Amino acid sequence: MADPMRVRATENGGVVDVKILMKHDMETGQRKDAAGKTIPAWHIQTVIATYKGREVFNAQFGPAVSKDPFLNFKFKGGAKGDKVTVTWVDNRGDKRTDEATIA
Amino acid sequence: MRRAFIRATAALAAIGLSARAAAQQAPAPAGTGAKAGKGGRVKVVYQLSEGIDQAVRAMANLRNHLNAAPDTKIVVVAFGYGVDFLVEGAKDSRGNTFEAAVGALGSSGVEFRVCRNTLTARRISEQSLLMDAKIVQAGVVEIARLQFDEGYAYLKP
Repeated sequence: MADPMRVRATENGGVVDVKILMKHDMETGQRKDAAGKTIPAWHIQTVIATYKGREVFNAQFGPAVSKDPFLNFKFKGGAKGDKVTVTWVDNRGDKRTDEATIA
Repeated sequence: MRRAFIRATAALAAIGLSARAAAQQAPAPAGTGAKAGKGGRVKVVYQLSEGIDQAVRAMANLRNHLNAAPDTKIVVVAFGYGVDFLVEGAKDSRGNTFEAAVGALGSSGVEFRVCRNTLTARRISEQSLLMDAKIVQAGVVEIARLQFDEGYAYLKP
């Protein structure tokens, strides 16, 4: 339903660098359409990244985050060939999960 | 005798005509279906294969294109030297990077497809490309496929 994320993970010296590009309109609930009606808020609320079932990153997003958010974080202890899984949930309960193999 | 001959040729011609008509008609529904006919959403493929300068021109073209016709579906196919601007850290002659421009166009629905053959031949790693770039096997095949199968218009800035 929701558009896929682009997830990229690279390992260097025991540190895994994860880059995520989410596709989401991130409506703030403050904007109005051409007819003057408020466009209801619709944005990502939580982003969770897991590595081998363990949570390595957790973020809470609000209306101030831009459309199509880009996120970059690092964690220690990942190995090449393993997978990183990223999930976001928005305020309508929509979900999207994507994964990337660490290179 | 002569009349019979004329009738025979006329019949043959008629068969020929109807056969040709049938041949023309047969692929027509598939063709119009794939192209979504006239009045459908305009779809355009941009070919980028000439390096940074062409990419700079293309960014302006793409922005103007979307300003003038916001519901156009645009796909950029990059191969050869045209992939350079999609490599992370690539700069134009003024020292500006392409990340912001590509990101903004990506958010407005422009797709960037990069030729894998080029990446292999020029030893560019997939990891070094911008996040908006998507990989296809062959750039030329992708352009041909979009035009032939999906009714995209072709532009080369």
